[in-house]
Amino acid sequence: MADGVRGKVYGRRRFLKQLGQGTAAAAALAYPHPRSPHAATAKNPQVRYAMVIDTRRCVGCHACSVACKAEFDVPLGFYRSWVEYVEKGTFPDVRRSFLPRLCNQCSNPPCVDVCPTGATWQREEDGIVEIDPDICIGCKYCILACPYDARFANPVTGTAEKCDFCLHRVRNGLEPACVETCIGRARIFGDLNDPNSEVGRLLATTAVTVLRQEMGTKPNVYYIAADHTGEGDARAGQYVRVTTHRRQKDRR
Amino acid sequence: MDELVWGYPIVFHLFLVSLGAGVLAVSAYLVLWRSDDPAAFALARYGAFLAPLPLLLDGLVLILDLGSFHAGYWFKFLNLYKIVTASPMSIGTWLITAFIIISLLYAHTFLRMPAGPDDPRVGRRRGLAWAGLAVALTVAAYPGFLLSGMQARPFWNSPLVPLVYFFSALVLGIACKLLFLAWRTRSTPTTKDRGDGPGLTVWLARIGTYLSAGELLLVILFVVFAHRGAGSVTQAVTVIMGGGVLATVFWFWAVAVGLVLPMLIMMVAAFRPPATLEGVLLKAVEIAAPLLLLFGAFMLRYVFVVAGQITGPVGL
Ligand code: SF4
Ligand code: SF4
Ligand code: SF4
Repeated sequence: MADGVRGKVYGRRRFLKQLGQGTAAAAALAYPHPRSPHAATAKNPQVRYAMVIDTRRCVGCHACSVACKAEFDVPLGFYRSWVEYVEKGTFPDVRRSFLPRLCNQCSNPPCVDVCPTGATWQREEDGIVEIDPDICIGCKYCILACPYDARFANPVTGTAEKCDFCLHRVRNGLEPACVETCIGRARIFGDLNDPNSEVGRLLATTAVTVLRQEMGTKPNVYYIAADHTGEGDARAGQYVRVTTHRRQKDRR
Repeated sequence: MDELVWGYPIVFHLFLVSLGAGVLAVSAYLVLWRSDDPAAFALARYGAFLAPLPLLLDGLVLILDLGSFHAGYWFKFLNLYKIVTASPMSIGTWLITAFIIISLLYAHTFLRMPAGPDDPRVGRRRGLAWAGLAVALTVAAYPGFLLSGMQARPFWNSPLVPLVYFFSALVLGIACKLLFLAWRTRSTPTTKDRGDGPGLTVWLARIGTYLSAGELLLVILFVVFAHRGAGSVTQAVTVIMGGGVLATVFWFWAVAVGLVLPMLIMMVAAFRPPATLEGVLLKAVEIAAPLLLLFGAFMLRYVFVVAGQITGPVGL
């Protein structure tokens, strides 16, 4: 409750600031509000930003990871967005695929529920889960509560950190850094509530999956043709290896 | 390779919280229901003085462990006090703060000598003992709620975890009281059976036996339910089953040495034929058993903290 109220105030303050800079108009042009019949709430926002990742187009080049690192000056060993290599099979029946990862901006985010300071909350205006570094005390509870291991403790700032869909860019009408940089056009970003957006169209016409659906978190990052295999799922005799560049090597 | 997000400070946190809660709960119990026994009163008094210390130390440990403290924002932890959320950690913060205040006030009623069961502060003391008992029992279960509420951490995600911590805290309270008996000068006999029941040492050993048996049962239920289940929980619990990286620490050090052995010692002392408890058995029940219980409780928390973080949901 308190999170929602605080989120609203925070959002409004920033919105007014942007208005002054004349950038809100640009943001509105880039991602127009849908004609939403319902009142916006954190769980049911007017704009629902989402990402569709078409793994068939991903070549595992890590340009997205690097762009993200550069955008946020992410410390060594940690990633807001990263790419996993999934290798499986025995020659000649082998496959290597890539799974770009990031915070899922869950509609039902457990990380928000556990935060004791209200430093992390879900924005009512677009559903993005945000962290206020001025409030976060670095207790790391949210890091453990996230079923996607999407958060890390930034050793420099002492706060929890994760992907926020490049909020500072998006609200200025730009795409997230990883999306803009993706050489394969594997990452597609937009407003899910807008049926004419590319993500809206893709979701309407393509089979997509989300990660760990059974957790009930309602992720807003969707995958096309993702290989969900993990090392733990390997059937007898099957070779499966998942690797990343993160300091945390294993999926958990 | 897994990075531990929560390390030793959190193991100490879970241990110190349980220790303080257990000591206060047993002390309050003695004041409320055994105040006719001067030895029990003396013990309750020691307990009252000890109870706030682990929690004060715990507060310090937690603050030092915060990322914000490491980054040089020493007082940022005060943000915890600007809001109440439904987060177990937020509720825990307020609970622990209340615990510290109540336990200090409670200890204060024992401060001025001569403190005794009939001194003028008895009314205030009993009132604070009730408040202390309530807050201690809640704080005793709190670490379990802190851990068990996360679906992302299947090892912790069991309703039995708060119960395990609840019993474990009370066992720690009994263990500290037994240690006090060994340490204090024996101005009043505690080893002889009294006309209306067992002496204090035997009484404590008896309660300690019941509580550790309860804890053992809960631990076994926890493992059985997890192991006989399916999916993430079953997968997570393999780290403490045969061949798991934490199997020895858990079964040998935490359960066998840290729980079953002291339980057996207390059982022998508590249910021997009525007579004076003395010699090796007295030493064992007042010194060895409580030390083993303290050690076991620490190991149990170590296993929990690590196991919960090196395991996660199955599949992606
Ligand atoms: S992916 Fe993790 S950090 Fe992101 S919103 Fe979901 S639970 Fe929170
Ligand atoms: S690390 Fe920060 S954002 Fe995460 S739960 Fe703690 S205070 Fe909240
Ligand atoms: S930049 Fe695009 S193609 Fe390259 S790894 Fe990232 S998602 Fe895949």
